[in-house]
Amino acid sequence: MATSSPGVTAPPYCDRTAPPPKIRVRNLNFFYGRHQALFNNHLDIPEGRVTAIIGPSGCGKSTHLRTYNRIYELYPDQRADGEIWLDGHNLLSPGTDVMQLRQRLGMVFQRPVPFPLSIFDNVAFGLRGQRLPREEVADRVEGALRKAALWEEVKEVLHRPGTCLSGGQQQRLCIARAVVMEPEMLLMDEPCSAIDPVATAKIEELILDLKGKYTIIIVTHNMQQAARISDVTAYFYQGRILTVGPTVEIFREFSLLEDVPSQERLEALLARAQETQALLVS
Amino acid sequence: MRYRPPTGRKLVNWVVSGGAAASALVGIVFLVWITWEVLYRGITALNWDFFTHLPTPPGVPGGGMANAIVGTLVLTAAATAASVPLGLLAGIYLAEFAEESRLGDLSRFSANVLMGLPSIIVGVFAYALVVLPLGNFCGYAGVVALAVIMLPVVTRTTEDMLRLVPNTLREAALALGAPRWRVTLAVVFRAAKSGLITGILLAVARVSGETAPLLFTALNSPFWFHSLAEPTPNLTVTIFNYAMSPYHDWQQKAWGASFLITFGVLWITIVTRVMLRERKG
Repeated sequence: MATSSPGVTAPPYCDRTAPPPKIRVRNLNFFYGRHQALFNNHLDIPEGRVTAIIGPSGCGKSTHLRTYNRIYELYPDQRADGEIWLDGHNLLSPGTDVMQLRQRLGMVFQRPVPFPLSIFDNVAFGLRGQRLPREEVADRVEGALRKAALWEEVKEVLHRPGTCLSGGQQQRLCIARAVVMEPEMLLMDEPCSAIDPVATAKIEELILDLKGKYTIIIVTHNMQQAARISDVTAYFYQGRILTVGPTVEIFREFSLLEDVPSQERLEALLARAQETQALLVS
Repeated sequence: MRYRPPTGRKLVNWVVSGGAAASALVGIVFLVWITWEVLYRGITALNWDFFTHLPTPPGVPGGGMANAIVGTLVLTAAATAASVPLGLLAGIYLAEFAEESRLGDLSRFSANVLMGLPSIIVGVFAYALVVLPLGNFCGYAGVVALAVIMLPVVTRTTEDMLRLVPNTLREAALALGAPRWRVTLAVVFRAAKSGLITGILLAVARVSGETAPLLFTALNSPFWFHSLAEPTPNLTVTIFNYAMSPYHDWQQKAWGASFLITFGVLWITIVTRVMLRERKG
């Protein structure tokens, strides 16, 4: 892959001490038809860390995440422009092999969506295109289910439909399905919003286990969750990134665990973000 | 509250609801009447010979419609085999690939028009297309006519059923790096499976009672089914011929054949109903 560095201005925040960014987002704008949902997003995602994306509903968190694997392209009226550099390649450029990109960046969605297939075939689905020998597929399925902490619960019933599992199990099945592809990153779009606290705890444990091996980005509504599992936090508001930094600092600065930041404060930050933006552009 | 005599509004309400109920009753009465007549008269005409023997000339006792039963099954099966793959592919195209394209709109519109086309016109079309060039009535022409009638039904139900599959499922499969065709065949198709089978069965039910398109094409034959290159015996045209004949024993046989078709279609309809209900549940 060609290595060309993004020749654009620096983002508001750069993690100099942390590992090199796996992904650099520059000047990302997103449109639903005529409605613009993201404005000039700049973001660096450190490799091997957990990055949390937080912010109020409808602020563009999921939209931002969905540009990384270009899944929005399923809908003809959605459009992204700007640059997203993954290992020196702008993945928004037309030449990108989207299928390969999606194999490199696994995604876990808000609601667990098991395919109408057996548990085994659900996990093996992504491998089917690779013409692997049977034993290897079985091994990798087992490995992924173990990583997703689901193996012990389903090893006897691999032939049963994935839809007969509980909600929490289904979500871990979806994680196994993504992990089996041995992706470089996991994009998690509120993976715990539709499941119970016990299952949530299991998934958080899982995320901490996977950290280091995978670069993980998690969109979440749950502040405690972001504080517990993430290293870096990006705060989104009205389609803009207000601030990015180590989770501890961001949470101290905004006292996010105690209170929701006041409207005035967010507006002030938004104005500041827009000013910085204007400076960077000029 | 002051007592008020029935006013115009109440009267209108009474007339409308009464009229609606009466109309519904008329529909049901005829349905039950027809079903009862076919059942009562048809079932007495059925016996072992009916399913195993060739027809006899009027007045000769015994004989059956084995050839027409086989012929109808073959014609319907061949038409299904010809139209289902095409219809499924067209439905996939409309639902998955052509949401906002000109060609998609055009195909959808044509399918809708084709669905409303009187079947006798399809029969004449197949006559001009197959019978005239070949020079004789043949089963192939009948298959073409029936397939043309089935095609839009399969296409539209396939499209509708695929559209019912939520996009989250497509997203989840695409996000694993699977190509679109595999997402459609391995995931979306399975999710819509019972709906797709329902569509095919409804199309089969639709053509299994068709007479007009066969009159011009497959015609009929009193002999065993041999090949689709010859006139092919079938139940519906046999019913038409026998019911119009002055012979009492032929008329009896027509009732028997009507019974077979009516309850065959009824059975298919019930099966599809049950499948659709399971899908919802």
